Amino acid sequence: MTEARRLTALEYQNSIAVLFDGRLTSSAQYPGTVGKSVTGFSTEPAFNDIGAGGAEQLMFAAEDVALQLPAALPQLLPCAGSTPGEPCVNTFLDVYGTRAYRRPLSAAERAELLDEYRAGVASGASFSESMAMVVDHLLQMPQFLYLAERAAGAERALDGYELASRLSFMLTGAIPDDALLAAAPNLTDPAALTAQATRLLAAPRANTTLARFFREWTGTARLTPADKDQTAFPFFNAAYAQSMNDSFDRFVLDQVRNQGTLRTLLRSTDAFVDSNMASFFGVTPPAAGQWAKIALDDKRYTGVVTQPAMLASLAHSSEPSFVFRGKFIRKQLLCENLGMPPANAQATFNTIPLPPDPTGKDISAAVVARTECSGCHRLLNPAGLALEQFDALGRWRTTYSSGKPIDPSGVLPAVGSRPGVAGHDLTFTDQISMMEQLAGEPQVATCLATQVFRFTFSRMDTVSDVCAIQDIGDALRASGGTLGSAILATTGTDAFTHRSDQ
Amino acid sequence: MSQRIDRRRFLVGSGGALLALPMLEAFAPRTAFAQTAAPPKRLVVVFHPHGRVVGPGSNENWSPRTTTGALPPVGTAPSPALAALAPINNEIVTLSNIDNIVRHTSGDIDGHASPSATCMTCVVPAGQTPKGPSIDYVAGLRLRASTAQKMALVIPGQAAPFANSVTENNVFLGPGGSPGNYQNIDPKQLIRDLFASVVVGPPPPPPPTPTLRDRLSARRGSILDAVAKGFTSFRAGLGSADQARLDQHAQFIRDTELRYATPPPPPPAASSCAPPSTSSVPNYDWPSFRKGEHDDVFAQTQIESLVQALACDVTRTASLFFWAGGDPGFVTEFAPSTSPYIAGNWHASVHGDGSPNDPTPASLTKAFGFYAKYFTKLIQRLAAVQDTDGSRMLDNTLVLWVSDLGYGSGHYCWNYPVVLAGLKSAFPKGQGRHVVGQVNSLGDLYAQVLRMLGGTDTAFGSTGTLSSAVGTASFNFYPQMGRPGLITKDTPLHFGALDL
Repeated sequence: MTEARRLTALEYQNSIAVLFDGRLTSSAQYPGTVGKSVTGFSTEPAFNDIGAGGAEQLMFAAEDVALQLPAALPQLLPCAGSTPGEPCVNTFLDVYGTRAYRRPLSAAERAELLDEYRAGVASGASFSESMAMVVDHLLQMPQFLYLAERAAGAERALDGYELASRLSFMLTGAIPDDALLAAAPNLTDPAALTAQATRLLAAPRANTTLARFFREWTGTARLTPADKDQTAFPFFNAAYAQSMNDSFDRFVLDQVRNQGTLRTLLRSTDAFVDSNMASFFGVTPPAAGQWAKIALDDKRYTGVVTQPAMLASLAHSSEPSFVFRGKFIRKQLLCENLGMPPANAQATFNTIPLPPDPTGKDISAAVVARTECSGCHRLLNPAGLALEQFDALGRWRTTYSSGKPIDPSGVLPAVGSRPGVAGHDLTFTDQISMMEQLAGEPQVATCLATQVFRFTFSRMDTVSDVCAIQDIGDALRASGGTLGSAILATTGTDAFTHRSDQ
Repeated sequence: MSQRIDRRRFLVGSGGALLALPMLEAFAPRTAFAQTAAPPKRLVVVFHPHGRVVGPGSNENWSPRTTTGALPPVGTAPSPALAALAPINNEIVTLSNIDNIVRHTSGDIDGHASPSATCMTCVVPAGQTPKGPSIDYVAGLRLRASTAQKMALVIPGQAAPFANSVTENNVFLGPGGSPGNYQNIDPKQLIRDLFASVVVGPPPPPPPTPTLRDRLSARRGSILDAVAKGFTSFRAGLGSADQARLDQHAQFIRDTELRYATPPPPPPAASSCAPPSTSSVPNYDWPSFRKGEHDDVFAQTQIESLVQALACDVTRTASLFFWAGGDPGFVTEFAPSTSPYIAGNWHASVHGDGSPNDPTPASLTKAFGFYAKYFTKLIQRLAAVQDTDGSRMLDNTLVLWVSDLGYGSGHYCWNYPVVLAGLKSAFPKGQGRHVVGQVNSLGDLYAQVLRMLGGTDTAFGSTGTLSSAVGTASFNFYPQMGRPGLITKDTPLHFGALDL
């Protein structure tokens, strides 16, 4: 089942742009998220529920947008200048009402918005002011604010407009564009659906959503200078942080757009550099203001996990974190359920004696020696320690500040374990050999398919979703199976084209 | 439509008396009684994260005494962590031995989430998810004069934005654990939101030509009504879970609509109603505020908005919320460029993680002193505002200062740091005391708060024992997370009245 959910702030922003042809802008007063996302993806329904003050914030946000309307009305609604009146209002509703509700308006819905216009006129407002009131009203309606589908009972196929909404929000994080709405009546035809999915995936508008998938899956934050210790990294200013953020996005988008596969995602040595990132990697910078794709040292760098923004996100302000990095490998790349750390984890850690100038492995060994810690940390720590040669900003290093050498070798235990299955150990010499082996693990492909599923449907998967995840995974594992093909495969699953409420 | 305050129509009476009247009669003009009318009771909650100041190697330095007794004279620091309270020692009561018992029903599986979900609600959570309203919301429902007043405002006390984590969003809560009424973090926007419809003095002439903003504002009640109806028709075809989600949203719309659709609410209770001006407030310049570089100005501004929201009767329940998001730098508490929390991680330091940036216990105490400093300023400001009968607004306002944890160092949920102030008449044994009673729960404390405000409550939140509250005897908890020796499955959630 896919629950009704409110648009995220990003989706609201994108949708306002699509709705009004980029002539009106969104409002910062639109309410953000509340609580914690279980999947890690920002579109989860409960994560976007409003609080007591939310209705008022939504009203203020709608007003902010509506206030911009009169100035843009000549371009948005030419009849406003020549023949203002109710026929012109209906023209507005035909275009912008349909876009906002993602389907033609019912007679009752049209009458409701027309009443708003009439109330405006009756109060002495001008045509453009009355239209602003219509927009104010429109933007607070659930048909615009919520992605909600009619209940299905046991199961039903979604209609074309429902498919258009699912497709558009999945791939562009916004309401459907006019081409998709025009095609909506035919989207129950799989070929038509695939054609539209392919079109949207190729569109630049999909970039933000695709980057969001990789960021939220990997836990890669949008870094700012405040995230890092300015004593340790005095050069890490706002421009540098922005370069690091952009470099990550360019990498993952390149993977999707240029036939990247699961293997290249995990093993590519590609990186994108501007002058800041060229300085970071110690390579020749491109022309000022330009970006270049370069190949990094394949003895050091391996795919998304060694992208600086990801390494810096999975780190403390001045020191890296083998726990955060290991947690990504086990929970997000292998989809293992490790549970929550106990409440007294930090307090317990404080009591563990450590040798002088401990290495990561010294700390890990001391933690794993504690029985109450070993259950999870024996699984987490080796994976994170393999990435220990990257500091808190993702810079390459071979020794600790104490001068002790860093040993990235280890054993990743019990990979593929689940109830009744012991799993197997992966022995590696460094991050390169670890990722090389993980790239070939069937569980990794299944896990990425699972993450695509969770991203698409904004919820955790259940046993009834096995077939859908299998289909997505098959697309990834197929000979030449690309990341893009896996995303497209999602739109062909029964889970995508059907709805069940049981 | 603006919310006009005409002191000549000053309406006397408690919230309960007003609510008992038919709506139109309740809002009918009455004789002016300014300066003589009995003022309403109000509640202010101050919240700070991480409990008592116990850092690496430091001893308890919060409690003023180990036994019940008088606090030191005004001007003498009651304890290292509360040193800033010295000017108001005679206005406060400090408490020890208050525990968060309900937290243990969560199984203690987390450090901050379940304490946050329970410390203000005392209701058994669903794992990390809160399931009940917080004390400010419950009190707010009772104290408000009409639905036209804003409910249980939560006003940010520091400039760092929320991190949207379970520990920040789950402290102040509405019905069923829904998010509380968190206010905009931009001080200018907060002033606009709280006071836009408040006008003091004679009504100005209507503007000759309403602007579009005026027209949109005037239509708010009608549009919200239409939108709420739209939710009703839209929900019809949805499944039950989706309907519940939209119903909650629609209820919030109806609550909001009441504020815009009803006649003008009662006039300000206090005679010193003076809405702050946005022009006197600095721009909210995120991200330069991220580490609290201007938290002194920010906190002072927010306190003034809070106090005036009470004075102008915009609300009768408001909270000042200091939170841990973004790891505040407490820059204003240290000499320029010397705060160890700019580069370091305050949260980790509280837990004593021994990282290279870990400041000293003295630094932690100094940083925590920020909260005491602004608590004192809040009390002093409430004391300076004249209430409707000429008394100090502080004397009609109960101020409750609590935290999410007892001892932040280990996520321990016993011996919470609690300070009460204001509403002198509710303290039979007087103020200027430290009270070390038997072990009490936060539920006991909040029930007593409701009694001090006029209720007859003997319990707050979930009742029974840890086992009975959960409904099964099979849950697990870590006794060491609570008071040593106290926590078993048979531990009651309430112990009785506090010695006030």
